[in-house]
Amino acid sequence: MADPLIGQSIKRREDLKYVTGCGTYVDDLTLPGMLFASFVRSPHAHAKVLSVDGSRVLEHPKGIEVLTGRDAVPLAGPMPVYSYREAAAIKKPDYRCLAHDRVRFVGEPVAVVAATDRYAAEDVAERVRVEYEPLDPIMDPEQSLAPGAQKLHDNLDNNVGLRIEREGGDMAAAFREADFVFKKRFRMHRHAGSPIEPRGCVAQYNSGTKELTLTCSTQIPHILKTHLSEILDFPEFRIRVIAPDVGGGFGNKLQIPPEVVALCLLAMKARRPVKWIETRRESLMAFLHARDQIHDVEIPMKNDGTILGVKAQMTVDAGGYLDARISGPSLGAGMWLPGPYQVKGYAIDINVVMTNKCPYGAYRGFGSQMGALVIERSVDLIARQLGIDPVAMRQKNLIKETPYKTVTGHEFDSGDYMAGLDKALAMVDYPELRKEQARLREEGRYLGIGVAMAVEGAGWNTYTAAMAQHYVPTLDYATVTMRMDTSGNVKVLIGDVACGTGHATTAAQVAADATGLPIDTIEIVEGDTAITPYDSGTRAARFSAVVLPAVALAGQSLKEKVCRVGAHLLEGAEADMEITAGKVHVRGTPSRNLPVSRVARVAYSEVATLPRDIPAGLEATESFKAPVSGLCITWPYAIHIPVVEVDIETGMVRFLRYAIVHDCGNEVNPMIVEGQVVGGTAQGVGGTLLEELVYDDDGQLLTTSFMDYLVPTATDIPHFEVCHLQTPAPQIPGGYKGMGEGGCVYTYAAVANAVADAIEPLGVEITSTPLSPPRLLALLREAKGRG
Amino acid sequence: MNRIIHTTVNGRKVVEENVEPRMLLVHLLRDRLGLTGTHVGCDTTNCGACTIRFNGLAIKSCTMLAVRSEGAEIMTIEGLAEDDKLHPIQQGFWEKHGLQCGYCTPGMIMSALQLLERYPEPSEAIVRRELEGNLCRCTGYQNIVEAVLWAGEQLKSQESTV
Repeated sequence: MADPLIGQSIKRREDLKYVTGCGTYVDDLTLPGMLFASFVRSPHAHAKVLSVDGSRVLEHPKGIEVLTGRDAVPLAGPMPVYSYREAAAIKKPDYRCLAHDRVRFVGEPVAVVAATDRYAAEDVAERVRVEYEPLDPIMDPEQSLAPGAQKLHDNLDNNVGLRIEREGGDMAAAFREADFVFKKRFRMHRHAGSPIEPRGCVAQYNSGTKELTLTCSTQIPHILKTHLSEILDFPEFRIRVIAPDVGGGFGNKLQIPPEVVALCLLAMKARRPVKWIETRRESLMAFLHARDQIHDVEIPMKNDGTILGVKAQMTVDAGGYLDARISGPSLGAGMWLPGPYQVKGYAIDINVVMTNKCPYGAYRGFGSQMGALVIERSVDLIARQLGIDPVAMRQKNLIKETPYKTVTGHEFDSGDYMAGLDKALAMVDYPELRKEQARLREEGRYLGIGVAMAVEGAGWNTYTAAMAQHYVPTLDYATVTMRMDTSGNVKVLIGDVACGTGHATTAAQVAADATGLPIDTIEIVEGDTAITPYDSGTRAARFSAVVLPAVALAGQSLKEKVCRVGAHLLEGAEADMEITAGKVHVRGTPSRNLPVSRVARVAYSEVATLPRDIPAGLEATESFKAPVSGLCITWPYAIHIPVVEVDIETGMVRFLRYAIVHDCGNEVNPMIVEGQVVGGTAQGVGGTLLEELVYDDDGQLLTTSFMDYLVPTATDIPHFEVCHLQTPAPQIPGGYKGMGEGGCVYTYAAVANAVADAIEPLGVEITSTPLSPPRLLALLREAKGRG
Repeated sequence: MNRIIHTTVNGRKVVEENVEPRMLLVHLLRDRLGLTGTHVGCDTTNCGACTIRFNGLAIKSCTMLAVRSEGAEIMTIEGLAEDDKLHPIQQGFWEKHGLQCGYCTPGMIMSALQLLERYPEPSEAIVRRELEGNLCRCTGYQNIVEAVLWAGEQLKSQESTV
């Protein structure tokens, strides 16, 4: 019996193409007659669109087609929007693929042109004349909420897109029993995922077959197809969406891009394939923004450090329109406020309000990092106030036993949070670090230790089909097909997308173990809606918890079919058959065997020799439905302890070390898991210290390139020490929890706590991000001024 | 006025007619020559996904005009492996999980090539500093550093067996 591949850090099977430059990303695709699209975008944050004149486009020798917002109105419906759990409550602003009467953020597309090459497309786009009547922009979400604020959408009563009010447990009792109530405002700033590959799509329409084919850098080909069918009123079975190699997604590429809708219309009008690849400037202006929230929190406390509950009034700055998924990070931020602590109650009141900024959508963490920032900063601040060690306060309040029913209505399935915290503290030798900190303070140096922990959610049970425009309690699921060819090789068809997430390797490991076939005879095929079963895509860390169990089920099913034919050929009993290293044999008698290739040949080409009741062919399709309802299916967790030094002259933060203890249950490939943890934490570091999307008062985005929007470089990111714990997920076959959110959930809290810990003696209170050098220096100056 | 360019790419002679003066070198490589391994990730020379080797130096091909490549010797990622034998840097990225989505990888590898020529036995700090011009959003750089250090070791031992 071969050693199981599950649990082994085998090298990735997909890497040869990437290291040799043979990957196929959307911009690598060229089709005969292909045109290039360029979007005309609003230079105003808020304006009426008085007229759009594209007539000069066709006068240019390379200008082939133009489409304006007004052209698009009869051809495409509004962009979709979902509301998690708060069904009817979400408003429907008039969000179109191209603005037709009003623009609501700088960079909003107003028209699109097609030309014969990418340089000409930009020349031609400049020929489109748009007349605007500028309006005053609203850049402050609280101003936008205020009564009497200018309405951004005429069809709505005000600028609130969605209100969510939820509570759980007994907040009234929490307040009654409190010795005092901690009150604080926290703010996380606007930033974005910025994958190195920006958005892009090639659309082509075949007027003979009436089929629309898209090659699109997306995480959700099937869902995109369903939405396009709705928006364009186009039969879904004649749309094909292919996700090629995707250069990073991080949740941002869950967007249904309005540009893609417009591109489809352009391709249908031009009757030629059209390619759109956004520039980085466009990406920063008009791809999804994220994370911009204000929380006013009230935490009823006992004097001994017991946290009784968490209540928050939240404001989410949604931008000019409601992205389809905006309710997710809004709700997520609130649901994560109680953190990993035993509290009596929680209550959240959320206003998702619109302003004249780029829309806010999904980005790794999906709101949980905001909840974690709020509660973990609060714990540190309250501990300081009470004169308690922040670690001791955490230990006092931590959930001690799992499974644990939370006041948010979930059940944390498994995990030992106390042990995880102990492990992390031991990794950094916490008591020694405190002594070091004291020593360095005497030298005028500012060392900080940040501790943050959270229980992450993996596998969100949210809409799995685009049709769920009202939230219905749903369960996530995955369907996988395994198809054996006549030589005994297997293709595993999965409808999601690998965007750096290693599926080609981990799915093959699971498939090999389930079938008994050598991994070299297994190929994973993803991303093409014509080939793969319907799938809600790569999101919410669902691959391990939902897709891999489906792979295992399909593998088991295929194995049974192979064994059935093999049993006939070997004249044995089906129940006694086994497959080991690609050979079918009687269990316990490996010498009497047949190669799977022989079995396959018979099943496909010598069918007459099989008994009537054994079907021809070797293919299996199985579904796995999440075994748990509620917001998330399973609950990984981690503890982050960064150690930093803050230079109070420059405001620079330097990492001395960064320890991570994480637990995502059983791991198929520990190397790949660690890659996700490190990568996610690095994004969190960038988000906490460097990256910021800045608008001026006129609504102009000031950070429109990587010169201003500071994605961290190799010198900004420290070396991470990662310890893997594995507490299996009790309800997931295989025990996997998933780790796709990576370290993103914890980093903001951990690094903010570390920086705050470092400069606490200087009277600085940290309640917002980013902690970039200018902002830290401003805080330090202000504290000095007060003191 | 459009130009004719004569250059050498991955050891092969290239003649391209009708090249607009404003065409970027990266687009000549990708769109005209079909060498799509070199990628574009930004507009301002920050991300390094377009890094190639130009007359022996690592340069960002998005920031050079195609017409400047007249008479030059260019190597892209596609020219690094010899037949089917991977360069140790390519092998190192594979061994050490130095990539996830692969988009920044060709540029990283081409930068690492120059890095290891200049610093055959680099420290982690030198590797990170020398790769500052190449952005990665997926890996957090940790395994990229491991990959480059591994490749350095391989190259060193290859040298000593020569």
